[in-house]
Amino acid sequence: MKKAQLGLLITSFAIMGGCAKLDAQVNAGGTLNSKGGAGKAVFTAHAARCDGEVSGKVNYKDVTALDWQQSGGVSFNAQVYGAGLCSEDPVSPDGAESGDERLFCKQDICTEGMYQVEFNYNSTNPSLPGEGVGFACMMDISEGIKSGFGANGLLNVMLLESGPYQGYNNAGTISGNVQVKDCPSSKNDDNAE
Amino acid sequence: MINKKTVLAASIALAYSFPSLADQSMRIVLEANSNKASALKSELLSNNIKIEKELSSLESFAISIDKTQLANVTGLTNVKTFYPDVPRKLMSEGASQYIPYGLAMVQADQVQYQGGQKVCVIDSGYALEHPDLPSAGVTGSDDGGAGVWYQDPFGHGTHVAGTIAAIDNEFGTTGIVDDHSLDMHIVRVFAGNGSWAYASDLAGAIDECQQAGSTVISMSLGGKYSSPIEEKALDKVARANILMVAAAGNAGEASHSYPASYDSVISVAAVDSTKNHASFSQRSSQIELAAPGVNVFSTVPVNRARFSKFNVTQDSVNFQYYGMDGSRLGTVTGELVDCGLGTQSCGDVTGKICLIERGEIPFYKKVEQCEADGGVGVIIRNNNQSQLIGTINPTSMIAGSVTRNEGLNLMDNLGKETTITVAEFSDHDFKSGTSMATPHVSGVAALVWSNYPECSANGIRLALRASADDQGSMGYDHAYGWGIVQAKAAVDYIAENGCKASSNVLRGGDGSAH
Repeated sequence: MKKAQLGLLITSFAIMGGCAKLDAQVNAGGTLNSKGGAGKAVFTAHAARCDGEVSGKVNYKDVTALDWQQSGGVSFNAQVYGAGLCSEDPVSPDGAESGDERLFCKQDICTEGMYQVEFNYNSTNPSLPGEGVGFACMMDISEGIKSGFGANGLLNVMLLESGPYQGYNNAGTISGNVQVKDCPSSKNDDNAE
Repeated sequence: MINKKTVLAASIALAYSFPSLADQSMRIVLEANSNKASALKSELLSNNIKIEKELSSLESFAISIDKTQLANVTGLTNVKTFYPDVPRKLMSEGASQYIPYGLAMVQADQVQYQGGQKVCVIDSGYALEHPDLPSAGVTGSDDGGAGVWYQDPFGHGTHVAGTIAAIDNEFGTTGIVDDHSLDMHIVRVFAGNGSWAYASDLAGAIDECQQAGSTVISMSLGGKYSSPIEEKALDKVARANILMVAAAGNAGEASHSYPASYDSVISVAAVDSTKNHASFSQRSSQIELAAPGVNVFSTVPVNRARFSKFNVTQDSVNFQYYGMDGSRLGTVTGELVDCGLGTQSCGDVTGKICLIERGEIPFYKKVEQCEADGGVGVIIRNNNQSQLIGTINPTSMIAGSVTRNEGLNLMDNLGKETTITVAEFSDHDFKSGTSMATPHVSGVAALVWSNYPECSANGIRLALRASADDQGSMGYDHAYGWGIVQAKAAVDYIAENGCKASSNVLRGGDGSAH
């Protein structure tokens, strides 16, 4: 029995190798380069992970995305089901269940300092109806990071993993805002239930 | 008794009986009779025989004669002995010079450089000591933190520069402007491991290019994030009448890469030796031109390259890839025949070159089968997109490989006389990427502009677009842009249409952005 439990613990730890998610909120909005196309993509995200409670919405539109343009482009509304600020620390296995994605950021994709949101989206393009899931990582670079970008937000990656836009991914400099801030009453992830 | 004159004349005549020598000059070493060197020299001079080298201590001369001078040589009286002056070549390199397939594809071989241009290469540095790269006329910027410009531990910048300006000197490779006459300025922004060094950002590097008097800026680099400040800096340089060229990116998907996707920059996609769009080459609405970017043969830092290199020529075909490890070095010519997978006899292929598809049996068995059938050489054609560097048992055969697309091209050209060469090149190698396509466009831009210095940068840019070799969908498309850049067609286009253009920043790609 002990050996089995130890094995489960090791396996669990191996699965959860990403950065720990911390309580924080994000408000993002602006335009960025289209996915290969001539126009601009429009992105807004409002999400929060506070005291273990997750909420938020994402809206996105990229009508000139090169591989979807002929079908009217990519366009969706989404409900956030996972969110958090990625810390530099890996997730502690204490109290964590095997495969629990609520407590960690996507390993090697959403890294320290990025804000990760996971969402269920609903296409608003009548030519490509349907639902799917996706995630996005973004970074607030307006707080003294010398990037020389002349903008204060980065969409590090957004990937739609299923549904009518499965495989669509985009990244770029947001001409607009990405603001990450503390929750009204922040609480360390270590104490999350 | 053998008449010495007769022997000399007969030997030279024998040498000239080989068709390849009949119309060429030939070098011969003449040893003078004892203490008769001076007299022999007088004889040579009075007969207008060119003395290439005088070896006084050995009482000998190396001379060059052609067939018309044969009679003069037979009259010499002070010759003790004579023999051909055999060539000696560098042991670190093959005796061959491969002409990269890309030069003909972009018509760089059809236009003469007229001077007056300076190409600035922003990259990982430049191997200034490379024997196949120019040194005169090449300057660089001070070490901004990435290292000195005249070294290139990473090797990328040296390869890019070689595509633009490698010297035509009978070994190695040649570039678009191959006679030392193109000025270049090197700005090193990548450290030895290829990582970006922030001592100067890209706008600063471009400023250095401008300060150095560059007319064309070549940027085989990029990233997914744009920068409004960076874009403004590039727009400013564009209005200063400098042409900027950058790589479209190698992510193999539809996405932008910067700086290539700024309007002020020509975004370059990559094609292979059969003009097919490279699978890694990004597509976007800002793609403007295409150029060779797959298995481009060019300079790398000295002694950096491995594996022998293989060259296939046939009419207009010119492919380069890797030789089989174990192949004999050298050249053979023969009719090209299809031998399937080489798993069984190909019949009598005496003196022919076997084209054999990869698969089912090891490479060495394919080569052995061809040799058993009388073949003189083997071309292994790949059956997928992966790289093919094969190993065979040491053989007297010439054997090498070609890509899948090249193999299919050769299958359409069976029965034709084909020449294959395997040679060692330790200072030259293949690289693939839109990084390799970019210097083709930069070099062609400089070449064309040198013929029409009165044109503006925008005028040259529009001419390159209008004269490109259309590929893919008719007209503009997101993979090839306006098509494969063409030097001769651009020169002809300007001759016919002029090169008037607005001085404002042009819309990049298909012109529809924003």
